Amino acid sequence: MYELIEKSEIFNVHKMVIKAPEIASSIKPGQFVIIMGNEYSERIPITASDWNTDTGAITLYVLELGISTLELARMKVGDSLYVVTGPLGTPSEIKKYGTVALGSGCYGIGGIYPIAKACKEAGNKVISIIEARYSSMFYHEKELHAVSDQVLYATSDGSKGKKGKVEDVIGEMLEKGVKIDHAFFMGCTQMLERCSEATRPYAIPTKVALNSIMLDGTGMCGACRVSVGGETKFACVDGPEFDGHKVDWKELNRRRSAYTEQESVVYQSYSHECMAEKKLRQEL
Amino acid sequence: MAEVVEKKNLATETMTINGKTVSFSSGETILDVARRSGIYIPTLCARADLPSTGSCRLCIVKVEGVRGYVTSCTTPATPDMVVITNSDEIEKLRRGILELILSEHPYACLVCPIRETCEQFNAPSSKTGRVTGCNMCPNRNICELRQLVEYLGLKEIRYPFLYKDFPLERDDPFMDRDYNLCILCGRCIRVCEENLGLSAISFIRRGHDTKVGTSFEKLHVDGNCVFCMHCVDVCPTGALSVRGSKWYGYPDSETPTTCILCEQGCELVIDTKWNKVMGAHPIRDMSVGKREYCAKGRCCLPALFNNPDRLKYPAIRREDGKIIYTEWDSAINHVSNILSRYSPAEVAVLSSRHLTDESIYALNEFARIYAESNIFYIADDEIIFPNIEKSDEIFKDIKILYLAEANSLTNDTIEKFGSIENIIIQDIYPSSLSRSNKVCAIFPATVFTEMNGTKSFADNRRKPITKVAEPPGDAIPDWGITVRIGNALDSPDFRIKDFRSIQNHIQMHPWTISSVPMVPKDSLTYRGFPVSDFVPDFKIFIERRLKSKGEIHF
Amino acid sequence: MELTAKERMAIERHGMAEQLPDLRNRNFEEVPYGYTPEEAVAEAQRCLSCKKMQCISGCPVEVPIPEFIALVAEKKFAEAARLIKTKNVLPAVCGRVCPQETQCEEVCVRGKKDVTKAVAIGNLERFVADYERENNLMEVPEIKDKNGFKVAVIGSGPSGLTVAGDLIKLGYEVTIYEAFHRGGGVLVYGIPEFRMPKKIVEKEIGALEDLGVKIYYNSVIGRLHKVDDLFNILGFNAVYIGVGAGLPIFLDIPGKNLNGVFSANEYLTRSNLMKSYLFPKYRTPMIIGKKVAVLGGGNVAMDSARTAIRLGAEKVTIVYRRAREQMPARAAEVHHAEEEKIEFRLLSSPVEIYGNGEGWATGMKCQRYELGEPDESGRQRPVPIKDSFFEFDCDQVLMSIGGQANPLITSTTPDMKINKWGYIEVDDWGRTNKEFVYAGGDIVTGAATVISAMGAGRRAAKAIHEDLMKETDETLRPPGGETEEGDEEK
Repeated sequence: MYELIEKSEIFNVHKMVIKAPEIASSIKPGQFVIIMGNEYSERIPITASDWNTDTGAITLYVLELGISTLELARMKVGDSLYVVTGPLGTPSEIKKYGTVALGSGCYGIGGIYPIAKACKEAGNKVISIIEARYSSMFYHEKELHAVSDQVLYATSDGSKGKKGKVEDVIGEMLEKGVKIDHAFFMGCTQMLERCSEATRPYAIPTKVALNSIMLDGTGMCGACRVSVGGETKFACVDGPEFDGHKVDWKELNRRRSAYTEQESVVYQSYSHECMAEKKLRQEL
Repeated sequence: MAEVVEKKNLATETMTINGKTVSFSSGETILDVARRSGIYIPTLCARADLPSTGSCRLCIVKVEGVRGYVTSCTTPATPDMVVITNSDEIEKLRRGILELILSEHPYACLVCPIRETCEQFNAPSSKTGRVTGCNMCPNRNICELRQLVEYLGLKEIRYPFLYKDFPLERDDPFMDRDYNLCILCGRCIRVCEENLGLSAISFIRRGHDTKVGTSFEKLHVDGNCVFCMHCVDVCPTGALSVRGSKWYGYPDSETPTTCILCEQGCELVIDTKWNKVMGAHPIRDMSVGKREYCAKGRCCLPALFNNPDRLKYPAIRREDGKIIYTEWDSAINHVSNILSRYSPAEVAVLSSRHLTDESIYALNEFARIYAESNIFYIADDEIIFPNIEKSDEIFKDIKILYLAEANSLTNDTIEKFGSIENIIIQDIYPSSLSRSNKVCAIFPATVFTEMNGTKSFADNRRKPITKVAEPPGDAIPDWGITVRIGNALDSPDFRIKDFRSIQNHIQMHPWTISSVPMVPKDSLTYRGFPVSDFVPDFKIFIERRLKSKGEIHF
Repeated sequence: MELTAKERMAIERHGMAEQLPDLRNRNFEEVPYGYTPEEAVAEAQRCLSCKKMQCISGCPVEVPIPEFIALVAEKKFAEAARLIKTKNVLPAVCGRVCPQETQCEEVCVRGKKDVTKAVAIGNLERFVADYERENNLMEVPEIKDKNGFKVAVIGSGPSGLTVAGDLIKLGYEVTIYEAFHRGGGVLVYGIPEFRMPKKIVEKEIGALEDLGVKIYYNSVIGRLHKVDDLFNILGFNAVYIGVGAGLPIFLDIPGKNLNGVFSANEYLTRSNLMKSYLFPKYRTPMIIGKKVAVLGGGNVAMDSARTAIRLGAEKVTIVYRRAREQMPARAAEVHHAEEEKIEFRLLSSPVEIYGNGEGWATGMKCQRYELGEPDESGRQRPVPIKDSFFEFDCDQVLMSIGGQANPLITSTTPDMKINKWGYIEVDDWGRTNKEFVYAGGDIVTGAATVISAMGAGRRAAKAIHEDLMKETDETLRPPGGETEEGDEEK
């Protein structure tokens, strides 16, 4: 079950194509899955980037960011994941808005693709803006180009597109008078915050895909709770997308750093061969 | 071995640096003189305790009368030399040099205008595999590149970043290597060759492809690397890191202590955070001459001491046979009641070579009064008696054992004893012996990072042991346990009452400590427990090394 | 050896040997050690085999109690277990977690004046179930021929497992959809290891799988498939909803989102399901507070508090709004908590949680209450004492003040009738307003007990069987006696 049929890496972002036919046939843009590499892993929420109902495969872009994603990063084609649960979360609200700007960075470049595709299919003009530190870090570009009217780049070293970040590109567009009717952002928390601040003065409805720590993903624990407009919401059932102008970013950052101690302690007794040993035990 | 240049002559010559007259002795380089005189010259590839190569060019200075600029790390000082180290032109050149070096090192965060805010949120660094910027680099807090960018005021790098795209090297035990961050300063190679004479690594390939690697690009564990991590400790970037202790960020405290795992007694600085031992590293001061430590002290301490199975609470066996946890006082009473039923000839004490001098002295004093000096050690299945009058002969009369190293007692050794009725254990982890139904009490002891004291090492060196973290649960130092039992048994001849009295007695009876057998450098155990049992990377290292070479050296 | 009634009356109730508090509040092993066979026989001999058999009516699934106890007295332990299983699919579970003192043991003749002197029915049930399992004496029950109907069960908690167990034996093809990666529902994520060893749950589920029940883990109905899809696309003939009431309730006070404030669900799921108490071997991290405050007075609050003390908390305080007698938790669990040196602050409720500059909880401010006029349920209502507050330090707050219906299923099945609190409305047999859709357990009643969920499952299984086969099966006669045809019974 949940066999890994394709795997590649670009700068810590690991493309994992997994066989999960039931999820592939029912997942919608904006939804995510929760995966565990093995019995000892944490439950990790990952946005689904693509899915194929014929092959039954779903494509995930997993950013290596800790011990459980490290073990996922070290998996090889042919291995099986222990858990792939989904689809989870409320799907994106796709309407004919007019002109939609989609900004993303890091793992969001792959994650925003299904939303861009759906927006295009709903008749919107799609402007995709992607950022990375260096131009060699971009991925999934061909697919994004295929569903966007325009793809704009932002790099920290200026090697492709504008020298800067997504909010600089959007800020520039808005200053020039480009009309944007709706914005979606996906990326790290600081990026989401800065981009939301860029659209705020122009009162553009902005949705951000939040990356709270999650445990079950079905709304039964409250680990992923965020404050949006003063109300407490669960990112796994009410989200993962929320109004970017109302999110309490400080609280989100604090809650996301609740486990820094455990996250670094766990490496003390880690050994990469542990995975191989564990597999052996499972087979016995 | 690297040696700081021996100054046989007193500094007799003079030269001028930045208008200041300074004296030097022949053989010193301009850099040596400048450092000694408190004048800062930025360097990347030079280090006080390694031979210089002049490859990074950052230390260039202007020598009057010489065309161009010279590297101060390789240029010998000559009498009446006039040197300028910090003109505008030199600073500009240095920035240019650093820019070029950084053009092949992920520099985005180094010159990012919002770096400070970002790092406030991402503290500590994100735990990724491939470093693409400071906010995911394990070296962030001590990186020499960052320090140089600050010092030189470098705000912008005019070159697009060229990623060398070397594969990550994460398949060795203990060490992660990302040569995409390497600036080819060669310090790691020099320290491996000079300090250890191992030459496990060297520059390999050539031209633009040059990188640091092992012969035939094998894994370090399959070569002759001993994972001492000296290369990691001299690397100015995050290219080399210790996997088990790279992600905790700024420690809460950094405390020097002495490693007790073998007779070398290497000085280590222990990082603690969240009240736990998180990592160990050498003193970072550049002027320290010789460093020497091994994989055990450098990499294994956190996993060895933080394992959740640590004994935390005193336990005794009730009349009905069940083991129950209890308070110290009742546990000590329980044990002293049992001990008082036996005559000293029936009591034997197993001490441990891995205890501090104070704990060893306390056990010796206990043995002297309550066990007829029946004290012994076990070293690699060999039984050692510090008192020459004692031998295996005593074992047939022993009925009760007081053990500070229970895991060293194998079934074969137990056979030598006549009829053991009771066993008292003070230890740090459960051992197979602690499950025996003869055990009447188990006391939780501290490890060396959780107590103060001293330890005597080879060559008569006596060094301090400093407490850096709190022990788990109710564990107390071994000497504390022995003192309590000894005092509960109430002999007026038992002379030690507390830490101070033990230290005084050691001064009066140094033979007690000097008769303790030493732990050889290549030992694989701590207090009878194989380090491999607690540190999986260590297990991999020694298994593979023993398989390929048949022997293991640290 | 036949004992006279007088001799039976003379036997004192056998307590089960338990781990001493000082030892047990450090480990996750079960607290009561269980009976030895001799103790079980001696306890069984205390039963007077009364004619009235009140105990059976006290049991929500009407286990034939005097009969199985008589078998125990004759040392026929495995047979006793099998007899229990005709009515109760999970005796190893119920023997451990049922509140017998308010059910069968409450009405036991021997416990009339003092329930602690009743026959230890729960202990005996646990004993025979453990004996059967540990000695590999479990028999495969008889299964009728396949009848061609397919039933989907949503949720592998106690009620879902009961429905599955009943229907598979009647020849249905049963598929359980479970959202987590392990089955058991509250048995695996809610009740800690030291009260409900997980290997027992695994074995019970394994037994069901051996009978042919299919379990699909990691399948969240409401997202993966909607309830209607189960009929229209996957071809099921009936659907049973047993998803529980897992939506956590947070006290809406300032500071509720500080680091260190958890719902009991999250805390227990990390510890029980993800085995964080074995960190770092199991990688899911857990915050281990030194001074833990647990809000609530139910079994979940006791479980949270006892888990906290085992994980190494220096001090654990239970804060409950009402008085001790009103605590809904089992008396035995409250007693265990007290033995483990957990403190109780009764007639108190927090009004604010304090935090430090880095967003971590540091303490709380509580309002004091006193008991006032009784409310509709007859319990004295707690009334806040004006301007009476107190503060205390805590670095972790566990909110176990109840659960609500998770809207995942109800919101994606818009034509299913729910009440104003989000629970599914059903008739006495578990039928919802949608044809061939049934529900039972906490999703109907709100948070309740394992055994009542099992009783609901039993009734629903009967209704499913009736509706699908248009016949009634004798063996499925559920508690209450009355069938829809107005059958006579008892």
